[in-house]
Amino acid sequence: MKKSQIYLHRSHRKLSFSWRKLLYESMISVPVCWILTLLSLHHLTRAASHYLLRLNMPLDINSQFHLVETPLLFGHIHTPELLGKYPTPLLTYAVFVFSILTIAVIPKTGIPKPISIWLSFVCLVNMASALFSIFLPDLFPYTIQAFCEIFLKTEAAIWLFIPVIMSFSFLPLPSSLVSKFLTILFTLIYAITFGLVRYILFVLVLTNFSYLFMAVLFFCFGPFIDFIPIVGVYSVYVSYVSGKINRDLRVWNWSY
Amino acid sequence: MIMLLFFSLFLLMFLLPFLPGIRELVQPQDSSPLHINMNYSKDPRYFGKSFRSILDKRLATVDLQSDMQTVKLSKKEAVLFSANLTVPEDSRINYVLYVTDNFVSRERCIFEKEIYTGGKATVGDECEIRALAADARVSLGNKTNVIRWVDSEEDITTGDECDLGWSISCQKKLRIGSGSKFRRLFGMPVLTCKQDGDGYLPGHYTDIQDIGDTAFKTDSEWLIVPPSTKLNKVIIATQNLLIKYGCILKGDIKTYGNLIVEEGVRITGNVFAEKDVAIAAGTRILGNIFSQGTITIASQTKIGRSGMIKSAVSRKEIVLGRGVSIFGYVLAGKKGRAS
Amino acid sequence: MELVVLILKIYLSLTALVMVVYFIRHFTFTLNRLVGRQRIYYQDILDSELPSVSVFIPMHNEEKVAADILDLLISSDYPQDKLEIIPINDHSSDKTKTILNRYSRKFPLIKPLHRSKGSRGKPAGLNEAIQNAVGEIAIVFDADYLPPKGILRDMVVAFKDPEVGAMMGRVIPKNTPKNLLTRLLDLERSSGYQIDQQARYNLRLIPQYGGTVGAFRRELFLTLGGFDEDILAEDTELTYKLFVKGWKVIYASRVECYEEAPEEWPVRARQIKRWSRGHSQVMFKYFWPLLTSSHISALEKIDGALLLFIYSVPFLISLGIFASLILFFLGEMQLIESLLLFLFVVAYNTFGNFAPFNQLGIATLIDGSTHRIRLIPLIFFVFVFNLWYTTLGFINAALDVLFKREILWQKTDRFRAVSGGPG
Repeated sequence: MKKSQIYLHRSHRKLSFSWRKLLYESMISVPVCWILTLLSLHHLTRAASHYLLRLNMPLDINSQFHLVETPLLFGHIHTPELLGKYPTPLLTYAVFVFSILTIAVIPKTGIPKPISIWLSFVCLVNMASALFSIFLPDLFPYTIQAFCEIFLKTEAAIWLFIPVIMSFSFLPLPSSLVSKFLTILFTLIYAITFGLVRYILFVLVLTNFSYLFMAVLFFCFGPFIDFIPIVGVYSVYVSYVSGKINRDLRVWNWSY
Repeated sequence: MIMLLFFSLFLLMFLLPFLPGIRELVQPQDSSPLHINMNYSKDPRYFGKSFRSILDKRLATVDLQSDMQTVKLSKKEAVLFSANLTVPEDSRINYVLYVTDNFVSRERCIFEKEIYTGGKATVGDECEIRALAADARVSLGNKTNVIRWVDSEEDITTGDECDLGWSISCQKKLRIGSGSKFRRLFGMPVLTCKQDGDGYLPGHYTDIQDIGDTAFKTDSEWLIVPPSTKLNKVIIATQNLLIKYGCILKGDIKTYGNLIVEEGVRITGNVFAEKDVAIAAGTRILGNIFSQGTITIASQTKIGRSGMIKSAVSRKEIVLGRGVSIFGYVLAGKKGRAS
Repeated sequence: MELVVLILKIYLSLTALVMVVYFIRHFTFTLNRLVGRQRIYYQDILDSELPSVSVFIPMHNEEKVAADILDLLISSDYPQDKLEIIPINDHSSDKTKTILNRYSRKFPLIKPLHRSKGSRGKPAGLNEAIQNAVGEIAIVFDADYLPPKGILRDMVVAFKDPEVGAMMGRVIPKNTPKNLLTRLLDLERSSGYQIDQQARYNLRLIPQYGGTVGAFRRELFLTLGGFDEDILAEDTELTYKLFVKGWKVIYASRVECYEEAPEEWPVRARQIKRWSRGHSQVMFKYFWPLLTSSHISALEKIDGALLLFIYSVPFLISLGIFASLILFFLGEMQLIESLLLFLFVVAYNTFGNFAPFNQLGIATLIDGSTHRIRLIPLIFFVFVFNLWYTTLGFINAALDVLFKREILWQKTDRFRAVSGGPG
C-alpha cells in the first residue's frame, strides 16, 4: 500500500528549482536563437527589401532605386531606396477632420471603452501627423529608406530579445527543455514573419498612400504589438503545462 | 491586390495569438470562480469528524447487524459490519470495517481501508492502518504505521517508533511513544511520556532582577536576557534571542533570528521566530509557539495549560523530548519526531 | 531645440530604466512565489483564547448585497459573545436601512450605524464606527463580499504576533464567468494576491492592507488617528502609517473571500481612477516619512517606494509616448536605444497592468487554472484604457495636493440580484 499524499490548499503550492537547470537551459536556448537570427537577418531583410523594390520598380530601366546596406551588429540589413508619397492637402485635412470626429463620436457609439480609447489613441497620433503636415509639410524628416532602417533595426533588436524574455518566463516551469526550446523557436519564427509582413505592408502603405501614416504605423502597429505573439504563445504553453500538472499533482512541492 | 494580400496576412497574424483566448471567452472551459469552501472551519479533528459524518449519512438505512455489504461512502466500498472484532495476526484487510463495539488487531496486520469502532480500538505491533476513527480509547502498538489519520473521542496512546501519518487527534490525552514520527497532533494534552505528571520543573527565582517595564528591540546579533530576569512586556529582537535560565517573561516574544530558551524559563505569552526555536528542559510557555524554521522542545517542558487550546506550529520540523506536554495542537510542516 | 531633444531622450531613457526596475521587481516576486522559500501564515495556530472582534461593513445603497454578507457572518464559527457586526449605513437612499434594521432586530450582535450627517465616504464612516466599537480587532469587509464560515478566526489569529498591526486576506472574484472584463479582473486578482502579496510577505517587504478582507488592531488604529478622510485609498494609507510607526502588515494567502468584480467598463474606469488618485495621494503624503522612518529596513523602503510610485508609472508612460512622438516628428529616431527600449519595455509591462504577463501566467498556474491562462493576450486591448484612467487619477491626485481640493467619495456599483433577507 503506497503512502497516501494529502494535497494541500493551492496557497501552499510551490515548485522545486535548480539554478544549474536554469543556466543550462538559458545557455542552450538563447545563444542558438541568437545565432539563427543573426545568420538570417541579412538574407531576410535583403529578400523583403528586394521584393519591395520589385513591386515598386518603375518601367524606366534607368531607375536609380536600389538596396541600401546598413551595418547592424555582426552583419547587415538591407533597405530599399524608394519614393514615398507626400500627402496632398486634401488628404491631410480629411485625415485631420476624420480623426477629430472619430475622437468626438466614438464615446457615444457604445463601443466598449477599451476599444474606443484605443481608437482614440490611434486617431490622436494620426491627428498629430496631420497637423505636422499642415504646418510643416516640407520638414517631414524621414524617407522610406530611413523609415525602413529604423523599423528593421527595431525589429532586429526585438527578435534578439524574444529568446531572452521567453527563457526567463519559462525557466521555472516544470516542463522539458525540448518543449521550451521548440516553443521559443516557434515564437521567434512567428515574430520574424510577422515583423517582415508588417514591414512590407507598411512600405506599401507609405509608397501608395502617403507619409502621413508613418507615425501611426510605427507607434500603433510597430514594436508596440510585437509582444502579442510572445504573450499569445506563452499563454498557450503555460495553459498546456498547467493542464499536465493538474493531471499529476505530485509535481508540486509545498510551502511546508 | 498585393497590399490587400499583405493586409490580410497582417490581420491574420495579428489576430491569431488572440484566438485561443477568444475561444475560451466564447466557449469557456475554465471560467468558474476559484473554489472556496464556504464551510471551511479549522478543526484539528476534521478527518475523524468528516468520516463519522459520512458514515452517519450513508449508513442511516443500512442494517448494521449484517455481515458484509457494499455501501456508497465517498465511493462504493465493501463494508464489514461487526459488533466486536478481533483480527488475527498477519491479516490483510481490504475493506472498510464498521465495529459497533471494541476492535482488536493482532500483530503485523494491514488495513487498507478505513476503520470505525464505537468502542475501544487496540492495534498490535507492526500494523499498518490507513485510517481509524474510534469513539473510545485507542491504543496503537509499537512500530504502527498510520497512512493517513487516527481520531478518538477519548484518549490515544501510541507505542514506540510509530509512523503516525498525517494526523493523530483526540478529545483527551494523546500519548506519543519514543522515536515516533508525526505531522499533526491534537490532544488535551499531547504527551511524550508514559506517566501522567506535570513534567514542569520550577525555576529558581531567588535572584530575580526586575529590569523594568519596557519593550525593546535591538540590532545586536544576539539579544541576551540575563538569567532570572523578570520582564513584563513584549520582546522583539531583530536578530537572535537568548533567554537565559530562570527568567519570567510576561508578554509575547518575537525574533527575526533563532530563539534559544534555557531551562526553567516561564513565558506567559506567545513565541514567534523567523528561524529555529530551541526550548530547554523544564520550561513553561503558556502561549503558542510559531516558527518559520524548526522547533525543538526538550524534556519536561509544558506548552499551554489545561482547559485552553494552544499550538506549536513549525514550517519545518518539530522535535519533542520526553516528558513534554502540549495542550492542543502540534503541526510540523515537514516532519515531527518524538525522541 | 537640441536641448529639448536631449531632455526628451534622457526622459525616455530614465522611464525605460524605471520599467526595467519594475520588471526586475515583478520577476523576483514571480520566481520567489513559485520556487522560493515561502513563509507560512498563522492560520494553523489554534488558540481558544480569542480576542473580541468588531466586523465593519461600509454600505452605501447596498440593498442588492447587504443580506448576503450578513447571513454569512451570522453563521460564522466565531464565538458570538466575542463578536459584534457593525454595518455602516452611509447616507443610503435605498432599502439598505430597512434591511439592516430587520437583521438587527433578529440578531442582537448586529448593530448598524446609520449615518445621515457628516462627511460621506468609507473612511469617514469607518472612523465614526470604530470609535464606538468595543472589539480589540477591527475587521472590514466590503458589502459585496462573501466571507466563509471560518474566516474570522483565521484573520484574528495573526494578531497573536505582537508586531502585526494589520493583515490582509485574498480576494477572489465570484462573478468571473460574467464577461471579458470580469475574466480579465480574475487574472489580475490572481496575479496580485497569489504572486505579488505572497512574495512581499515571503521577502518581508510591504504587503498591503487592502481595505477589505482585512483586519487591524482597533486601539492602535485610534492611537494613530484613524483614516485620513481626505485620502481615497484609506487602505494604502493605513499600510504606510503602520509601517512608518514600526508595525507590520502581513498577508494571508489561505484566508480567502469572494468579491464582486466590476462588470461594466465605465464602472471599472471609475474604480481605477479612484485607486490611482487615492494611491497617489498616499504617495505624496508618505514618500518622505517612508524614507526617513527608523523602523523600516532598507529593503522595505525600496519596495515601499516602488509600491508608492506604481500608479505614477502610467503617467510616466503617457509622457513617454508623447515625448516619443515629439522626437519622431523632430526626426530624432535614429537612436534606437532610447525609443525601442522604451516602446518594447513599456509593451512588456503593459500586458499585466503593472505586472508582466509571466506573473499572470504563473499565478494562474499555481491556482490550478488551465484554459483561462489563454485570455492573457486579450489584456492588450485594456492597456490604453488602464493607461488613460490611471493617468487621470494621478493627475487628479497631483491637483488635489497642489490646490488642496475636497474629495468626494464614489462607491463601486453592484450587480447582484436583490436577495430576500432573514425570515
